Amino acid sequence: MRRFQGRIYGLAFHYMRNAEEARDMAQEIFIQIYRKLDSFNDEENLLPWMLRLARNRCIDRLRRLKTRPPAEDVLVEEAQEITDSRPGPEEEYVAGGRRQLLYRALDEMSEMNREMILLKDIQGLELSEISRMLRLPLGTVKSRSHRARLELATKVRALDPSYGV
Amino acid sequence: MNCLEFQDRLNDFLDRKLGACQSDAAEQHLLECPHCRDMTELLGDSRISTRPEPPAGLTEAILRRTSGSTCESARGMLCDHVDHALPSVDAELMQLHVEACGDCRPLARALARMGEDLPAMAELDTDAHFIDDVLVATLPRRKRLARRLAAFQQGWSRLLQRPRLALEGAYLGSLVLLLIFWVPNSPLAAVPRRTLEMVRTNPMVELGDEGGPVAKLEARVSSGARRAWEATGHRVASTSGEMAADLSQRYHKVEGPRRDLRRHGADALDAALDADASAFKISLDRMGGDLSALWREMVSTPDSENQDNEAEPRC
Repeated sequence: MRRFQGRIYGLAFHYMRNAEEARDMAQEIFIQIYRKLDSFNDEENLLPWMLRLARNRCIDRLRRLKTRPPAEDVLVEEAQEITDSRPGPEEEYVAGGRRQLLYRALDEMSEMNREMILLKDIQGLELSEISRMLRLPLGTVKSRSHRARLELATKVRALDPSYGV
Repeated sequence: MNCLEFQDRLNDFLDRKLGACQSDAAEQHLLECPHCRDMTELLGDSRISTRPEPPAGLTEAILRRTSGSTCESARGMLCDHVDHALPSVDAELMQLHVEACGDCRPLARALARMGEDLPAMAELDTDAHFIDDVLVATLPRRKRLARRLAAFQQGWSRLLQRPRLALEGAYLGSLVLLLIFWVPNSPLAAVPRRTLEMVRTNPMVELGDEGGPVAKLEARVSSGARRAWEATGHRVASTSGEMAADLSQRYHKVEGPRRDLRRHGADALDAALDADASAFKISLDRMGGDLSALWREMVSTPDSENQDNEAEPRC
């Protein structure tokens, strides 16, 4: 649990877009994982399985909430406070600024493209895993992933033309 | 090249379809032969006049209609280019385009930077209590209760060890006293006034003196207790003694069923460890019989025993 808590919490945060909700959600996800762990045997695919379960739980919760929180609830400041465990205060500051920029750009993206970025580029899932998870053909997932990356790059550059230069 | 050879190749020469060697030879012949030069100029002018010059940008426009703009094509492959997933030929062409194109170059750089920044957003730190909370939620109910009780005890002891506790206790006590005695509708609101009146009207009588109210109350309570003991005490003692003797007698009487119950319980445990379902069921049935025998022996009254004894010879 110590190994995966950051990943699960990160995924929940990207879906719920609120730190408190994400924490509650991550707890629920781990409880469900604990209950279903007996029925899971494939050690190598543990992380994709956990992420799939986490995604389904988050989407269920969002459906129950019916309404998606507004864009300003992404809490850019909050996202900046919730930092990953990287050393070096100066690097952390710069990386934090870039992360904040990416959060803003992600906010402006469509739900579908944001999810594609989250699963492929942030969580690092394989295209085949995403294809199974979303029940879409592999080619569709690949083209959507490309489109999403281009859209994000365009939006980031629109927010800050110096990004990547 | 002579004139006949030149005239055979004249059309190809004008259409620039000759090879380099033949083209050089034809040009050399043109320099040397004025007749062929005149014929070439004449034919060339007439061909040129019948073939209009294409408008500027026609080729680019046709390419754009048939295969899209260069940037659009390049953007279709930009992600693969950044990921180094293109074949070498395409990768070289893309590299040339990206270096030359002012729109695609920053986009490619942004994509490359995103490749570094996005994976770092996968993991977020949770707070220190996160794991504890999950563990508590997944523990069995009894352990969860024990854990909550321990947390409550810890919190309570922390509260008691606070230095300001005495002050707060005194404050709270004063508040309670005020509420009890000074609120107008309280049932004890009249107590302080009546106490003061009593002290003022008969100040010389001490409450604890012989003949005073406290001494009278004490005498009344002690005489009541004495009478109650005389009325019930002996009976209670004798009854409890009888009950203890009866229980001891019954306990010895059920020695047999108890022994059977222990034996069958051990059998059931062995069967459960051996995963022998049928033996386990038999042992459980026997234990049920032992328990009912034990119960019968424990609850049977001496009268029913006598009746059983009397009934036995009849059977």
